[in-house]
Amino acid sequence: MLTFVLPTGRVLQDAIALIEAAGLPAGGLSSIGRRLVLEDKGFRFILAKPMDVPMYIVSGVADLGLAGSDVLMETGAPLVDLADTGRGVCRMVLAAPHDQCIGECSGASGDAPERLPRNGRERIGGVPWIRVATKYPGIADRYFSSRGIQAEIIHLNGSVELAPRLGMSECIVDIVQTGSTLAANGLVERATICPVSLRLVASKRSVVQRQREIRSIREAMTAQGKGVDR
Amino acid sequence: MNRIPKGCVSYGAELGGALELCRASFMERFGAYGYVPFFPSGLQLLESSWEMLPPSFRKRLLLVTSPFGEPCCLRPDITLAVVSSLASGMKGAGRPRRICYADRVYKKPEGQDAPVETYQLGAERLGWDGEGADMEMIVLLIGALESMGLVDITIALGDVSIMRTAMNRTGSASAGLVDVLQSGSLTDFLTLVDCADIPDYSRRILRELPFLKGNGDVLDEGAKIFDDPEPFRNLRSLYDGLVSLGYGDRIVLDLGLARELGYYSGPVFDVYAPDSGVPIGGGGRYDALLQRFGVRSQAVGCAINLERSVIDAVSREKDEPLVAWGGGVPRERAFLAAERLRRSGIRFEMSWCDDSAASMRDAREGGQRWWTDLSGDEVIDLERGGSVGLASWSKGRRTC
Repeated sequence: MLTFVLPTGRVLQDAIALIEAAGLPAGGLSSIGRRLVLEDKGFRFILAKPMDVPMYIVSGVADLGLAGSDVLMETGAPLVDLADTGRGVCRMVLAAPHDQCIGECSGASGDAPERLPRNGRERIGGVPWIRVATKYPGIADRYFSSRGIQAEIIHLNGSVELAPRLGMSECIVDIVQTGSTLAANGLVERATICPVSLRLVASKRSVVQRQREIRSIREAMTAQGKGVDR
Repeated sequence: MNRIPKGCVSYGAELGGALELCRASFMERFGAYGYVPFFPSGLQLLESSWEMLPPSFRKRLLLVTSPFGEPCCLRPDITLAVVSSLASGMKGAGRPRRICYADRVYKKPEGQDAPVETYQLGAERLGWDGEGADMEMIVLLIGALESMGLVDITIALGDVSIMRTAMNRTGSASAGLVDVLQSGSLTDFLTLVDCADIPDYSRRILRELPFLKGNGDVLDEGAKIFDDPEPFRNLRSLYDGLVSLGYGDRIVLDLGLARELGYYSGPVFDVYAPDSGVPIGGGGRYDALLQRFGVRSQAVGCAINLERSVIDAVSREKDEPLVAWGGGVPRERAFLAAERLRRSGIRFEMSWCDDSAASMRDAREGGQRWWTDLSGDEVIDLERGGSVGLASWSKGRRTC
């Protein structure tokens, strides 16, 4: 039995399409309803919250799975990123209201901004300090740290776009596909932090113990599922 | 409220017993082969360890200042403490030094829920003694794990010199490539390999190596890709030896196994237990690290992290202790009877209350199943009722 963990939500249909394209028994997945586990022809499929996918693999419960590269970056889970499937493509961005000055808006030189907003947060001894709302505190922290910008990370679990509008933060770090949600909330994309896509991942143990099966799934997904075999 | 820091753990009750069983089994197995226990200091001086640690390791140190103002870290790893201690007295020749250890190590966790401290068992063998030392380390480790009850393990065996040979013609790209491979991102590794300014020969090998895992056939496949069997000679010899000792079903060759090239220098291995997706330990040849201490010699070692899943597996195998009631006879007689139990290898807990019924009730409430009155020779099954003779019980015949 090979156990596969799939992310629920936005990318589940992409994941099911990949499973089908790889010739795995995905028949029951489209009509799984509220069940979270499905077994079929030697495969067990587990449905989990996207951010939890790595945990199922690292703990040894699942052999392999599909997870967004955003989730892999954020969790830093010790697993094997086998292939970029080319599905679920979007990007991790820094976004802010169009008139909001943030670290990157003060000119091509990337100097610290001329002005930072209210509440006495303008500068501390010349060091900029901004508030960032995000579902990805680890990624946001690394992004701002690498630019020498002091950021107060506000960890939210959803509807991140609300934060600048309600005065909770000056900007957000989030994933964006079309940009329409940003625009609807008066936000403008300021910088692309990294591209994001759905990755085929596996546990280190399973890659060693079930190499042939996992390699053939990888090849099937990269060959037929619009995957990117680099 | 008894709260301990996030990421730390106290082992008690069954887990404490299982941990001790692991420690004793490991130290006994290696001790029988001449490995001497070593207990490194809890604080390690930064000035002694900093230069020797891989960059990925430095970021995970827990720094403290000693009461004497010396910059230190909590012991992050025991291998380094062993090597720095032994290397100072080594001149490259002479009888190999053998060390085994069991102690806690402390590192900044890699993930939100990862531990800060783990209990590490390990062994190191320093000094020229031929390739038999590699096999000795793996065979003793398998034996130690077996004696803890961990029989269902897998050892992924590779050789960093194969990767080094593959990198020979890649120039400055090699360090970055190994880092990425170690991080686990095959996607990024293959992207880098495709973009790197390296000969096609190297590119073809590097694209294939991470996928070569399995039995002895992968060595043939590797030799074919390299068009040269020489880089695989040592690994083949080690693998064949382990297979002929009957360990073939536990060894998986992994030609893509990557480690810091400036630290490891020959056969390396990872150890996997069934209940975890990540290795519980590993080891291998690290002559290159020893060389950093100014000693040109052979070094091989192994370490196992006793994480929760491992200790759980051991505690499931462990015998339940017997409750030995001594309240019905004079204390001296009870002690003599208890000593007889100890000499028979029976684990027991003394109960001294005056009333046998109260003793049985306490035992039952504490979840203990077996009870005996030290004035007699019967063991009572508190869970299912009935009794069995002590001699039969101690031989494992526990049906009442």
